[in-house]
Amino acid sequence: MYNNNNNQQQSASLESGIPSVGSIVWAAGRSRAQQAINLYANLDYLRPYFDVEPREVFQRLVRSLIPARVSRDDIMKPELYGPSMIAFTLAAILIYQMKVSSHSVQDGTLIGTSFLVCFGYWIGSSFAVSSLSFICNTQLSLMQILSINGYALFSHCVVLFLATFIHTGYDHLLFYGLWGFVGGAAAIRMAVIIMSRTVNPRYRALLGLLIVSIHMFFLLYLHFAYHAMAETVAHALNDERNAADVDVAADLKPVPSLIPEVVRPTLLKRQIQVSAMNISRTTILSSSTSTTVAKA
Amino acid sequence: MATTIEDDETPFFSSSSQPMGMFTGDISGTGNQSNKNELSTLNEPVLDTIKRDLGAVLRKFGYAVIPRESATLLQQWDLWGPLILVTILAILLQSSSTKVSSGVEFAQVFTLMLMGSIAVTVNSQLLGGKISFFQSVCVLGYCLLPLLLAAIINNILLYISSKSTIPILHIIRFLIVMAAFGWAMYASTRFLGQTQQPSRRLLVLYPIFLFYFLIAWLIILHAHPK
Repeated sequence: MYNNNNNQQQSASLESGIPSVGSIVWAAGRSRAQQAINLYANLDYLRPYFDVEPREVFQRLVRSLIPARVSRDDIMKPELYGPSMIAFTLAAILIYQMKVSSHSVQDGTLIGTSFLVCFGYWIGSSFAVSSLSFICNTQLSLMQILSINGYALFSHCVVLFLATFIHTGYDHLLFYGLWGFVGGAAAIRMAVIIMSRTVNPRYRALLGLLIVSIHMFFLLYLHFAYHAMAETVAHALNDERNAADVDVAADLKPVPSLIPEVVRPTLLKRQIQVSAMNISRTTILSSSTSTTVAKA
Repeated sequence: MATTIEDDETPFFSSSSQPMGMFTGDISGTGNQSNKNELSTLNEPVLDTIKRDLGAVLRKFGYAVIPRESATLLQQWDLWGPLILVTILAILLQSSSTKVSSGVEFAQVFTLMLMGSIAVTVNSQLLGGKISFFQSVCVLGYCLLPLLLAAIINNILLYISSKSTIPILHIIRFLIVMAAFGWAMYASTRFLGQTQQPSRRLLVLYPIFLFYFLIAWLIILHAHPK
């Protein structure tokens, strides 16, 4: 590549005597662009972080949920295989959740949204934490934070998976329990690792609080943004339908002559359908705004 | 520097046998023959060409149904089979044809396919495997065949189902789709497992598992086409 550039420059200098600035800039810019576009070079850069054995990944997954003392070599070797697979799993669970709850509402963006949310959170929050830890003088690199943060997302996978498949009705008792225990354990572990690398005690408390709150709020967001809202809509719909049926039955029996029997229930049902449409429309709006926020 | 990389590794966007023919594919199975032979197909009747190409595609479908130790699917990849299978699957998974969102719904299977193959390929390359993007699209696409059959059976069962038989049908559909999922996993493992060191095979298989599992769930969830 460099030889080519040199040849071009030489030829330019032979033709005009002096190498024109434009040609030099062009050549330099092109080689830079080629380096940037060359996916292969980027892959090579990431390759050391994917050097793991299956057993190692399992160990890290289990350890990510146990807020105990952390061994030193666990942090020293950053690894991105586990985190990226966890992000993919989380995206798959989200797709499933959306598919179950809001069936055909915004299908086209389902997959894109879930991937964007998962990878966006993972990378975005890691960048935020690493910039903060840079300010607070924590001795952790970006890759280490990406790895730790990614493994902490495993708790999200576990909680959302269980909460999606086991419903407990209105009170999200199971979800809150899991949120507290599993999500809390993972958050505390992540906070402990990062705090142990911070020198200043005041910064240490600040960082720990921030990390735990980000982690826990994201889990709440994932559950309630894509799962519970549509679920409550479904519950409300069912209730309205039942109530409407009961009402119709109660109304019709005493006063059958006022309104023809055929018209009344259909009218009511139409009303319910219209209201249901409105509700689902609002859900679409809110979810689309959430996606735009995520995109922004 | 770039040349040394390309010497010892497979380039990302090309097949291993012919780096130049990256967008054409080898549907005829005559990959290693010279240009002379390729030119001679200009004179042959169109019917022969179609027959030969269809034969090649069908043979690869056979590889997907009855997995054998063979490198055919990897070396002579084509995108006809995946295109056919994904299109049919997208049509089958549509909930209703009159909806406004049916277009995007149709596209989601394609999106899933694209995302899945990108994830599988990048992951495999990062773990040190030797496979190109289109090779993994080909293998993943052809191994969708069992799941496609399951989706067809699923639709037939849904069509003939009455109110009383729904619980039994749910169980039958679940079992059929899960069996097809296992079959697809087994077939793709046979082909993609070769490209990786044995110690790391599990790490390569996980995204493939996730991909097929998601498609299997989409088929099972297609229960209520209201």
